Amino acid sequence: MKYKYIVTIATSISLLSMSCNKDFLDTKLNTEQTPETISTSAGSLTGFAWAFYTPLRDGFTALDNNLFATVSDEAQNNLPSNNAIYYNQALLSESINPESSIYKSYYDGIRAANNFLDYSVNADQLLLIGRDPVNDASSIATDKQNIAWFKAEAHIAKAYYYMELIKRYGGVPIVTQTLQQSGKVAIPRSTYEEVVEYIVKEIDDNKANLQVNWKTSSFVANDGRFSLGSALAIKARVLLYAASPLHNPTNDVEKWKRAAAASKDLITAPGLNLALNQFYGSYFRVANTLTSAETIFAIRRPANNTLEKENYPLSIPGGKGAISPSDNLVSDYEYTGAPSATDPYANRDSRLANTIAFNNLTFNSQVLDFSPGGINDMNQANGSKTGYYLRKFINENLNLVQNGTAQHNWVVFRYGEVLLNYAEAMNEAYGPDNNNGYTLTARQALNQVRTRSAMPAVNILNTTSKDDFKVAAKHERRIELAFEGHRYWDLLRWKDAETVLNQPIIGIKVTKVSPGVFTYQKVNVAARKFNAAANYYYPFSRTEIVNSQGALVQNPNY
Amino acid sequence: MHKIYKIKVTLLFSAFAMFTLQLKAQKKTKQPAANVKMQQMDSLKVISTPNRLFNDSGDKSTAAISTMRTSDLYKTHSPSVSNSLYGLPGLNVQQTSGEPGFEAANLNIRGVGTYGFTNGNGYNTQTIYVDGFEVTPAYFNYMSASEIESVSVLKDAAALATFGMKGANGVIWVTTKRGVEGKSTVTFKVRTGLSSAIDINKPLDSYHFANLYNVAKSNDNGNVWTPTYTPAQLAAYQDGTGTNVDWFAKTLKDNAPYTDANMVFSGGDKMSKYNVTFGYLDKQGLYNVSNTDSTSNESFGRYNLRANLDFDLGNIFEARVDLNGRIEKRISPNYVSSGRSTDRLWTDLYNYPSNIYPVYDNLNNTNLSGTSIYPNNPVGSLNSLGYQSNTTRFLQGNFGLKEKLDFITKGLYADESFSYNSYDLSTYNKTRDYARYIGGNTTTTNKNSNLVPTTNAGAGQQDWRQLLATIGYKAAFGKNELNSAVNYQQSQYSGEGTFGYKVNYQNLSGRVNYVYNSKYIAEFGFSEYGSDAFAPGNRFHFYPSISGAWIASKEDFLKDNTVISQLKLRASAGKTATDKADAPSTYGSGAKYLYQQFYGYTGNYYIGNGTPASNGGLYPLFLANPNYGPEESMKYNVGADLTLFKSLTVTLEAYLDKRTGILTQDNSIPGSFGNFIYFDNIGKMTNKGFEVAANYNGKSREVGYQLFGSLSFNKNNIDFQSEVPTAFSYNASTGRPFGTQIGLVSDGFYQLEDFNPNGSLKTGLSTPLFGSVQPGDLKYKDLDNNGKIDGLDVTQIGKSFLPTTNFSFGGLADYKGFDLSLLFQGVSGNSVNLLGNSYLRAQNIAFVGNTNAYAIAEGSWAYYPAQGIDTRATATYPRLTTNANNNNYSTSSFWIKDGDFIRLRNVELGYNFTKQIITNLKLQKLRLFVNAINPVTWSKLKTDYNIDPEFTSGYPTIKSYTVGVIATF
Repeated sequence: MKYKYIVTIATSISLLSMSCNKDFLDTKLNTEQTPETISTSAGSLTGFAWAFYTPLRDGFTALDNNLFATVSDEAQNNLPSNNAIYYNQALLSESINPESSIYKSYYDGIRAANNFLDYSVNADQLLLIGRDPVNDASSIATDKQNIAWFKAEAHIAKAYYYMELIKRYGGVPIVTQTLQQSGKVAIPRSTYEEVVEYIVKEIDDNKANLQVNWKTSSFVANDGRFSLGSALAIKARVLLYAASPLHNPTNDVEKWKRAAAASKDLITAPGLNLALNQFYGSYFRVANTLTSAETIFAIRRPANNTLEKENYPLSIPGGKGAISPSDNLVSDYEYTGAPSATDPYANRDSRLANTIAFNNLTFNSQVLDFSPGGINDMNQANGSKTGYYLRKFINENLNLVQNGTAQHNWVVFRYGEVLLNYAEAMNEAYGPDNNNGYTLTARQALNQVRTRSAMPAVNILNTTSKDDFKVAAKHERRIELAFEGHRYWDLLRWKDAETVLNQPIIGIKVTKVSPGVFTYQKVNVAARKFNAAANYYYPFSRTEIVNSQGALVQNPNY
Repeated sequence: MHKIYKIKVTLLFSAFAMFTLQLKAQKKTKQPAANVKMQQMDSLKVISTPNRLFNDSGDKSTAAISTMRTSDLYKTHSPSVSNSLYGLPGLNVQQTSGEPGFEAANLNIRGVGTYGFTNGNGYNTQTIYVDGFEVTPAYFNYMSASEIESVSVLKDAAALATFGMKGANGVIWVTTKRGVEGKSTVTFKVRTGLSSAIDINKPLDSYHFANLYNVAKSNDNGNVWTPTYTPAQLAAYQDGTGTNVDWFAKTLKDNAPYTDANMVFSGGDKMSKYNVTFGYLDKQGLYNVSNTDSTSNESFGRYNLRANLDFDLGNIFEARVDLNGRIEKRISPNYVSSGRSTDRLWTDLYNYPSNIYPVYDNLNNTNLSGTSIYPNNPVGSLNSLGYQSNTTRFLQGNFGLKEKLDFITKGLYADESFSYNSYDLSTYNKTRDYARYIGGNTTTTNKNSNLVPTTNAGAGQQDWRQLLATIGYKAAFGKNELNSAVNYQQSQYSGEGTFGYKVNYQNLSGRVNYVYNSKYIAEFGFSEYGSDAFAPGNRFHFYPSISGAWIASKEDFLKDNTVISQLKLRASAGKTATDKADAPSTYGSGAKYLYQQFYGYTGNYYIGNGTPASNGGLYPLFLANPNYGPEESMKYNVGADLTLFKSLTVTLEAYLDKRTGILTQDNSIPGSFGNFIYFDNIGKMTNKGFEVAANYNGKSREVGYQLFGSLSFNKNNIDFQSEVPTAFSYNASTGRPFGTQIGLVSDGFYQLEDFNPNGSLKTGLSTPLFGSVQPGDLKYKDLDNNGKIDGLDVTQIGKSFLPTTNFSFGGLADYKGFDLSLLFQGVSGNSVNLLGNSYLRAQNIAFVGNTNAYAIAEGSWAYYPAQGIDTRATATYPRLTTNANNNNYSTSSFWIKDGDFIRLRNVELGYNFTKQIITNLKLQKLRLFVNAINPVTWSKLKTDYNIDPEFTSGYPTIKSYTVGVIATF
């Protein structure tokens, strides 16, 4: 009978072990979003929408926590350790590319846009959660309109990311759906032209559904989202690049005509009310650019002082003086009067003093002195290599010792650039003075930009030919768009990089004769190297090439 | 409970019950169990804990287990008991820093079986049990050596059979001291002494620094002699008038006090037994700062109490009650980050040159110096930032009840036990800031501020409830002996505060050990383990093991052998697993539940024309893998236990561990997929090796002595880790041991003759793609002969950072009350990268990023004939530069050095007073001793580069000298 006890004990242990909670192994987290929590919240719709915006990068921290300018002939990076060297010395390779993370992160944005387009199919049901269709009719209608805008913006976001990708890599894979593990097959590269057409189609198909101009709409708090203006600006820039020598080796004039028409569409689009800001200097250095009629699309950053910490002269406490603008750029600014024998910065295009901090200029209540023994002695550790510091974009009134901050907005598209795009394309398509029935000729557009900065109109006598005007247009882009992240890509698309980017960076050696009196002497600062056989495009990283299993063909000579 | 599991449970218990009944039926001719007296096999004996490790007889065991006793733990003393485990064959112990309260060693059992994610180091993931219940490493690491009876390392499938998903990386099994029947005793153990840094590699003084800096600046200026420091400045450094601050000397003391005191009450009678341990420990840090209201040295204090009680409640019941409480208090200057990995003080000490500024900017020493490049004046930061403190409290209560069910059938028993373990962390900080001055002006945003106290009472909290229920049967009949048990464990862990998660598991396990004729042993073990990490339907997995042993020395042909006193051969095979392989926590706390889809808001996008409004994007944190399961380990082991001449015992083990299903991020997904993070059980590794341990006891005249030694060899190989296929097979880390150093192969220095007059490399030489080179830069081998030195020229340039061989040896001798013991320990087969972590980089990369220079830089390549500098033929270091240099400071064989070393871990001289003296003092035992920990080290790394081979972070490794007394009343 003793086995009874055994059975009793065995059973009681079994019972003991079963007496625990039935869901003992169903431990849960309530700190994370799950498919259940998002499917019951209308907020997930906007959450997924913002996901295609978050990969956008502003240009203030493009490279080395600073502007992208140091890769071009605009400036030299001054810090002992920097990533600009990979561009400066033509060292980009399959394994080394400081911008290699952009490839994946822009495809993150494309995936997020595709995902939002899938998810928002059920938007109407989601928007009804917790609301009464009758009483809340007006707010539901507003939200529906908002989601409709976001849907169109998802297409524009894709266009934007592809614009940035083909600028760097040439043709890239076009991904039109949210890819799943089951179909883990790499998509081959489309050609550059195919991606351009895809971008144009995304914009043309969806522009009608976009908010025209957030700034002047009743949804002004949403300014910063893609609008009709940004969509047309993407199209205008993409077609300008596509018509440029790098992508248009036969110089097919139809491509230029198409680019000119795209810029014209933007300039004349009703409701955009584009105009140049009154002053160049205040647009970049003082005022809030967001409300200016010049701004088409800007990426906002909360108040900070990264740019100032990186670029304030070394003499100002807290400043690192990381970017040394080159004399190659400075010497390109036109004289507005007779050159001064003692001050090379007198009588110059007013944009010079708005872009560059040069010797003897007053900056944050200091008079800059780059001469030996001066407060910005170039021989001190991490001193300026060129005798210049950056001024554009910089808020000069911050006290870095007290951690003062200011808001900065990275302007992606502005009317000034649009006019220059237009001028360049119109000149190539129709010559400098033929308006082809549009409102402006190439010359008129260019001169609008010059007039704003009190520069004389481009002399008709010296620039009658297309080629002369092309030189003037390129010059104007260099000056007007300095440090805005255009120079390197302009040099590539013009195929000028192999000449310009093989020139050394020039600096100025400043010597003090007596207080306030200086002499200036040009010196070579750094040799530069550009490999024309390879560097017109980025290399795909080796990982991408391998993981594509043959679908992704590497760019030549990497 | 899961439905299928419920049926299994019932079936298993029914089967067990039937099996027991059948045995009972056979057991008609009952005989008393053969009570074989064991040979001296202490090293294999596992202390009986009344549950899963019921095979308390080392003789009957088929498993590979090594055990250490409390006396050895007390010798190699450290606040963290993990540093006392040297000498256990198969357990590799790597000492880390000596920072008070953070000195826990890295442990691994049988080397590295997995590269899995957990903790970022797959090699440090063994499971730890104390008295049968799982504990956290934090609980174990700071247990007092006085409360521990033994520490065992469970290594093979037979030992780990019942552990299921806790077994793959081995188990450390700890038992605490229990009372024994006999007279009550009170024991005092006190030791006190001083600890100091084993070694600190100090930077050059200002004079030598400045001389080298001049060379570096000239090198950067196209090899034109352009010194930064003038001869007058150099002369000032030399005659002592220039700024020359030894920051280490200003901030550190030579040594710091250390005290450990324990009191143990022990005793008992037939009815009840008790062992109560009461302990206090205090270890001060090496910082030269006093403990005041606003400043504090670093320190670690521990107060612990353990009461283990046993009650014999008659014929059937035995009960156990264990109560344990511990308070740990850690204080540090507010100049360290709590994670310790980016310790500001040490980073600054290693990086700040001697000539940057004097400590104070003014003569009356009120304004502390500081610049924007060197903002944290080490003296100022130590004295003027306040302090941080935190208090950890552990409270554990275990209750166990054993029923001897002999009234049902002889040898049947049941045992149930419960454990509650609670952990609490609270912090209290007092912080302030100070202004940095140069020339009377402030140079940074910092300002002098008042002390601000902050407190967080619930910085960390854990509750852990565990339940164990065992039913066992032990019997002998004829030549058969049977020992079997089935065990159910249920563990419920929850953490709030900074933890915010739960971990639950269930484990039904069992073991049957069968012995025939006292010679042939067969054992079967299993675990049916359920983990909450996996999807329903995939939670329970079954892990079996089989093993056997043959005690050859009991065979007739060896019975009376005078040489071989004992010989036992063992073999085991079985499967274990781990469910701890979460994805890195960067993928959210949902990374534990990879089968579920989680989303999170990532990034910010700003809109609006006033103050920008932030919007987060909603992203999948990773893509769910519904099939995600445990990492599994198939283990094989053969072993032999041998005793020769009744005095030399030798244990041999050889093992193979095949690991599959290591959780690995799928790296083969093209970037055009976008945000697509996917983890899968795809990794594979193989680990094999052997262990040898020997012990010899001897006596000659009045000197008794013991010699011992052990050696473990572990070699692993990564078979698959989803590495993107490399261009050449020699580039890959797959197919090589975990942690193998991969890099460029250095080939001397570029010489003047390698360059054209315009500074370009002569044709025929491969072009390095890491930046332009000049004479004195490191030259590398172009392995693929493509004319470029680039990322495709990397290959294996050294061994793993983890050693293949761990060994220890030593001895003890006693003579007329005196005793002397020594323990040496060392490793071999590992490489150290001189640029391997930020502290090593600080010491071995001169000047770059405004940093320091060390003795190693004095061997740099330089050629300035006009200045009388020419080291072209003798250089041992590349040319100096003040700029970042990706050519010279890439990972290359130039910087890889052997990490082999031997250390004298402890030496102790003691005297035990004779009976006559102590009986007069009413003492049972009185012992005085002097002890040294880590007094001597032999290491090439140390002789060549002045770097301690166990240097892993800022705070140095520690040696200590103590005196102590043990008195038993």
